[in-house]
Amino acid sequence: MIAVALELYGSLRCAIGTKQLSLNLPDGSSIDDAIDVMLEQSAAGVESLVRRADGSSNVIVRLNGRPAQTDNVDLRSGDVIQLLYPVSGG
Amino acid sequence: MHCFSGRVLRVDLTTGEIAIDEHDELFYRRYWGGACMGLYYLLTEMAPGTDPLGAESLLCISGGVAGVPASGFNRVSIQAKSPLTEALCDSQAAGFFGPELRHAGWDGIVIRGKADHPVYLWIADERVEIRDARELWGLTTGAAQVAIRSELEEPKARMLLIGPAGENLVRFACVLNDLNHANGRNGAGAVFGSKNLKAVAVRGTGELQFADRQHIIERNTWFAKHIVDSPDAVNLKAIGTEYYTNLCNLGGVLPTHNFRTGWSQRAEEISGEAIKKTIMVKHETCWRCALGCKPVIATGEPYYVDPAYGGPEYETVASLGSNVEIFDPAAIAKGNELCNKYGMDTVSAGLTLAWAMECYEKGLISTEDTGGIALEFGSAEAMLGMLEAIAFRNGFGDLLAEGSARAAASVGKGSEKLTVVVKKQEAALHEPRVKTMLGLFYALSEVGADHLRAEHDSDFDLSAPEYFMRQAGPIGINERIELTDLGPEKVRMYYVLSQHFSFLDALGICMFVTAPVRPFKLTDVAGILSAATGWEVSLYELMKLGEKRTVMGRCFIAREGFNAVDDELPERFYEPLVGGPSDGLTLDRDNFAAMKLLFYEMAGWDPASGIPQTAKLHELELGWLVPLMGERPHAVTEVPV
Repeated sequence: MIAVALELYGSLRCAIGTKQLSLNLPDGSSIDDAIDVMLEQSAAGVESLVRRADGSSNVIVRLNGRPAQTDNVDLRSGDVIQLLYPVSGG
Repeated sequence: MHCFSGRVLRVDLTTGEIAIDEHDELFYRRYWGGACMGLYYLLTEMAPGTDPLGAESLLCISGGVAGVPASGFNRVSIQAKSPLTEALCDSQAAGFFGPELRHAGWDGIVIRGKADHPVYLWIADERVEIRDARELWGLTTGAAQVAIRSELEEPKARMLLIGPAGENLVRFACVLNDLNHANGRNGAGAVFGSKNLKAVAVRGTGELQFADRQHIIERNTWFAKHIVDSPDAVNLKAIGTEYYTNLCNLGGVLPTHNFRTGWSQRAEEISGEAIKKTIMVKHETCWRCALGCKPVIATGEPYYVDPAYGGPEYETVASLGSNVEIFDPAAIAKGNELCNKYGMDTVSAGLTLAWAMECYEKGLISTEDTGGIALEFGSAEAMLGMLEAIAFRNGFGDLLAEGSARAAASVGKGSEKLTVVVKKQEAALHEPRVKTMLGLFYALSEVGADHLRAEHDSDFDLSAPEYFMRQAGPIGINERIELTDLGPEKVRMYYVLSQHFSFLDALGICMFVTAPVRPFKLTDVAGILSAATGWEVSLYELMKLGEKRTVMGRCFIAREGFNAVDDELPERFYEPLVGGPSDGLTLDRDNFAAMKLLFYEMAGWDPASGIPQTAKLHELELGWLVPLMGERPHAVTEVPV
């Protein structure tokens, strides 16, 4: 098992009610797997904050502060995944 | 004619004369009753070189398509000559005034002259009065609103108001409606003050006529259901623009310490998420808007805030927060309240304070200059005390009330290099050394540094959601571009996107409701406008309207003596950012100059002067401007037609 952290921002943080989630995942898990575990633990409606009905993403994902692919990264213990939204103006 | 009344109210405050201009359908098809109409009046009736605070200056207020019953169709426009920049004042505000004015049967108001004592304008449908405001002069915006509604016995009156800052001709004084919606930038409040005009109050009980009201209602219902599609709209609804704070910080674009750095370890303390958790009590909405992104807050001592003045949004969180190193949400909320009750732009106020704090830090000014106030970064006491001093022009506040550019010219000692201004207007709280397209916004704008010229390049960078890209397709934005890149593709992106935001401002539609980033598709906007007017409105027509507004503004400032030399960024943006994720990033001066030149050529502006060419004026049905431009020192290039 590996222990990773999910940092949450914006409406996702408001919906889940915490800045950071600590997750224990099987070895070889990807970021997508971590997001799925988060969603399993969350209320209905949270999924739409992360991904759209057509499967495209509503969030920008960073791993340890760097842009990351969500499907093909083997996470390691201590990794920090950030789920961000685009920085618009206004 | 549907949608518009065809009538513009004319008021001369010197003579007390009230008259009506009537315009035909062709005039509305060309100018749409909003910002372009205001510019039309400025260009045709106000002589170049007019003192913006003199009796001969013109003040144009218009509703565009406000009152069309769809989310975001609610903004009021003000055009004048800016007392801050001496270029164009072109400022929009949401809220309720725009629809109220149009329901009273007026598409706009053009005011000239100066009353011999303080007055306010009262419009109750057809009835128009200039009323005595001597008892109101000196009141805060909140107190004046209560007094006017009481005097008129009309609790539903909506009003544009100034506070003491406008009366005292603070060059960045703003105009408030409903106490927390501001025509914030360019100093329109000082123009009101110079005319002894405390307020414009209106009550409208009429109905606007639309060709197909049902279509508009249906699309607005669709909008409400589809807010969830847009990650930005979802966050605006859940938190408000303050949600940008954390994201800006993580991207190294949160202005901090007078734009020295784009990052702070303490940003989380003033993030939207923290504000929502600590001081926010609810959101309010503007007229008929399903989004509702305006925060209402509650605080206790020592920073008790009257909730009527609203809460700080992103620009204010950064201007009175990170950029002056204050990380207490309640103190920032108090600063926001002071700006709203005295009537000052939070952006220019905050950046002027940040400039003064850096001067103090570097020893260019001392407590001898400031009247004993230690203007240290991080001091909420200094920030709040100096906001009061600026509004009333007390002590050092009198100098800061001139804005940072004029204050720096007075202080000297190299302090000019610490200002973050374009055309004497302080930049908004966004970072062009990372979002490079924003540098073009700031430099090329006819109103001085302005962050609302277009969607930001961060919405179309390599990480942009598919949703944004799909919605940008109809205006030809099809490829993501690296955030820090500044090449021809980015210049083209700005040229296209700037027409989009410009048509929204020309019409009085809020940027927070439309594609590419928000739910209303651009074709929806054209469809709603077709249903409102009965005309066949296309996206092409709207993009041309946006370009027309920019070109009219550009011609206005050219007549005031501005040219390409004035399209320059402050020195700070050519210095590297210090620390955080954007450490070391800066703009390349030569490349930026080359891209600016490319923009002129792309837009049909003269490459040497930056002034729109005659052919461009004809292309936009602005041929009547050609002889008006020919008399100016930086005349447009003559081409045979």
